[in-house]
Amino acid sequence: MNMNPNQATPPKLAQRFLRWFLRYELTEEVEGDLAEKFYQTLEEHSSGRAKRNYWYQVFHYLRPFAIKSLTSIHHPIGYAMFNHFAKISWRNLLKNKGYSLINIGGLGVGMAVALLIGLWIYYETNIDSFHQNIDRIGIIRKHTLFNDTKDTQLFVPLPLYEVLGNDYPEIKHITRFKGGSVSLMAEERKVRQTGQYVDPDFLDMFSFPLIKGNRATALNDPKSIILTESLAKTLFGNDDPMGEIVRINNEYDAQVTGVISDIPENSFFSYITFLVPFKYNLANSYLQRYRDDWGSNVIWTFLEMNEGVSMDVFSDKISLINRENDPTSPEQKLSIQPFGEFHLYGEYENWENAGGKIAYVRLFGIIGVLVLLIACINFMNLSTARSEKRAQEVGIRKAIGSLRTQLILQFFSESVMIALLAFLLSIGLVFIGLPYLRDLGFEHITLDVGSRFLWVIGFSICLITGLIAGSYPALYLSSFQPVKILKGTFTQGRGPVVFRKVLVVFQFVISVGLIIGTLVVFNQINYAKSRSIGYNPDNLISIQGSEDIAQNFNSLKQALLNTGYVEAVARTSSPMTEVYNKWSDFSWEGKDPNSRIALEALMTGWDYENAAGLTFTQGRPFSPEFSTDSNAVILNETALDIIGYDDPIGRTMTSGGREMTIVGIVEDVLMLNPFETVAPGVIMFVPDIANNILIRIKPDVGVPEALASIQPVFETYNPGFPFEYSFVDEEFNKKFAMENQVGKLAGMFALLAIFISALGLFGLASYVAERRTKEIGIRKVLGASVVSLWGMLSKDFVRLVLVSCLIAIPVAYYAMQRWLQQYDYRIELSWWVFTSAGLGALLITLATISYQTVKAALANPVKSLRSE
Amino acid sequence: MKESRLGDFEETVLLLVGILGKEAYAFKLAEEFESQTGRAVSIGAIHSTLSRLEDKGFLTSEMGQATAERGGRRKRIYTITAYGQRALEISRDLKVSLWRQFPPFATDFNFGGQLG
Repeated sequence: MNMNPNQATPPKLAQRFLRWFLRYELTEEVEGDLAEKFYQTLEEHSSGRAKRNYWYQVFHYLRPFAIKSLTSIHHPIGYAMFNHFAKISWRNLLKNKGYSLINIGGLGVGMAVALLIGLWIYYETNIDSFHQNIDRIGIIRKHTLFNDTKDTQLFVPLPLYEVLGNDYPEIKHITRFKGGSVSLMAEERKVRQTGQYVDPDFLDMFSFPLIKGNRATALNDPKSIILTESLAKTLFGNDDPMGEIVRINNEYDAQVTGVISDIPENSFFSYITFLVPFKYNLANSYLQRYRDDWGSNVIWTFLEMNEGVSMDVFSDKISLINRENDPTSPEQKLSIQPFGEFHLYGEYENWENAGGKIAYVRLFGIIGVLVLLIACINFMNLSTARSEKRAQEVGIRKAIGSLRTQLILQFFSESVMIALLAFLLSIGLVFIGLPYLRDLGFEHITLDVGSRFLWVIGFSICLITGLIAGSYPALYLSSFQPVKILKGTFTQGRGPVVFRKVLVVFQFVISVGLIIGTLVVFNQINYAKSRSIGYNPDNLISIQGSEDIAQNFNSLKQALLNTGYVEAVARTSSPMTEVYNKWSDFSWEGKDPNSRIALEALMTGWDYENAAGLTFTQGRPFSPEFSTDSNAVILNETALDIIGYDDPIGRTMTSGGREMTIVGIVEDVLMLNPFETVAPGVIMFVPDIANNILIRIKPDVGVPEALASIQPVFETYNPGFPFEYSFVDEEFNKKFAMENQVGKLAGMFALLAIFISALGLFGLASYVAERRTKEIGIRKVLGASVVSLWGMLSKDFVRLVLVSCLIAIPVAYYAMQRWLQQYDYRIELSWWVFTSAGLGALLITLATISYQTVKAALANPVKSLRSE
Repeated sequence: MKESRLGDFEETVLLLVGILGKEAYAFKLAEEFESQTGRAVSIGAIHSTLSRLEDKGFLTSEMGQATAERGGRRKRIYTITAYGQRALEISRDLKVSLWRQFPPFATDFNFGGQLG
């Protein structure tokens, strides 16, 4: 046989692979057989073929009989080390059960908060992100100047649609958008539903899948209607709704031309249950009047740009269209807001975007990170505090030959392991907690255990938390010098003690800050709730009007009064909690001709003052006894201030061309934002309007009985609509929803933050008490009292909390002062908020540490001093 | 209880072990298998069968001599046990008995004609 040293040899990699998986006892014979095969092939064929064949033979040894059992397989480098680290970490956890509980519990709660907030932020930032063309869709905003204030609104004039659609090739799709709450009747069923009047382009712009019907033509015929799946089911059961007739407002028939799937909750449009062509609405409503009116703002307009067109540039290009067509108001402009920013950036100030909900997204994002940080600090503090105990271990490891990097790795893997356990706990906590948070803005948030996003985020949080929490112990402990530790001369320097104190102060600054914030938010809400609102919202029912009600109002009113449950009934142009009309065409004696002041206008008939419960400061309400009252007007106090009449009763003012006599002055009625001052408003006598019916129920009767007797009356006089009503006080309270939500969330997070901080203090206190056992023993022997020992042990912690308060109070004062700036009607920050927050933190601290300090102070000195 | 019947491949390998005698190790068996049957086989497949036959008690094995072409490695030589020999005979006798009963000419196969 030719054993030329230059001859090819079996491929090394294949050999290594074979050795990796092959049972050790088979190695010799198999390698021998394969080598023989290799050299034999080499003699007859090329070396490449021999090598390929060798690989082939190796792979054919992947058979059960030849493969090593799992336990004896070679592991990647470092496996044994990590295995060892995991084992040591686990033993440490079990050995110090108390500390482990504090660590994992605190971290778990912190992570649960972070996870909850993370899920919420993910939801909020992904509203409507499912529309494929979201980047190119925009909504038009109109910027106006009234009463010397720059306002921004979504309502724009009707003719804008035609001009933009016809003259601007940059626009791919455009739709008018007008909401409607109407009654829908199909066969015997009738429901009141909220939907939208839109142009056919709407379906092309937004990604709402059509289950039935043709997307291209479904909205072409003005008398068509598209239903959501669930509304179709309500109206037609399991029958095919396509082609069926739906009667709208008991006036017009429309044919079902399409069914869309229910609009998901994470969409601005989620309230929509039906779509009707805008042309239908235009032909059949008051909107006809505004067809060519550039001064009245009545609808919203959405548009989609063509690909490659910059929305910003186009926004500037169209900004002056409205002004050019409406010479009466020279100070106005249009702009386009990208629809992707619509949900989070909904507020404008001085014509500039001023953020909106994004502020809360940022705020809670910061709170989430801070709470997590507090939990990390616990971990850092406890592990550095206990580092002397671990110092022996570090010394021995180093003496045996551990590298510093290995020690760092050990402590990091320990903290990541604790973080993982805490993460599992936090998943459980979130799972249990979510149902209780439904009312706080978490109603759409679900913990989808199958979601990849959740696990990616979760494990990132774990890793980051583990690395942050483990950073100090890892870097600090691993730096110990083994000689010093093992000689027994090792003591901790001042460095870590100071560091621990800084961290505790940081924790309490955040906790105290959050407590102050919560107190201020709730104070502000209560302040606005308790302000005088100018009418009595209790026992007051509001019902939407209709054509039938307007026709039969007097009979309806009489029938309601006849039930015996009703004190007063009035018809109005708008509900108590909204303002539909704001006009700038009022004029009065001495009005500055250049001023552009708009007054809110409410139109009503007789008895409004009784139904609403108004308070007159001067004059009288409208009365059937005065025939001249058809041209009477009532002002609120703010309007009187603006008009400036000294002696208003009997004086006149005009609206448009109509001259009206002032007959009364009422206290300001709060209809809109409870945190703002009431705008100037007038109450005009226009008795044929009935957008809304107000019913005051007698105070001494039961509301359910009253409703039961009212319902048949409405069914008689308003047959086209289901009987639906709302309580005015409930509607009023809804205006506080956002503030309530923020307050409750802030309160919850503040509680959790203080809980976690207290948990950390508890651990530290027990550590300190343990370390000073001997000292306490000697002091007791020398005559120290329990109280003085308690004071001595508590002093340090109390000092830290006091320092935290000193830092937290000015920061919180500044932050809350800024938060309050957004409200016209706001509280003054008072000292007691700050002192009570500080005192609260102090009490919690004392309660937490006293368990440990009192226990230490009570201990029998004989026990602690007996052995050395 | 261990499976004691012989599969077709197993029987062939067992026969080859008998044929090769002192040269019966995995590589040689694979070579012999290929030259006798004309079918390709990997050494691993042969080795796997050998180890199974050994488990069943049809074969024993011991490490043999090292040779230069194996890079100085020893080879495992397989030998048929009495039990293996017996299993082969039973298998052969069964087939011989079956062949005895087999009709001598294939033309007697029944291709749908009348019976008898």
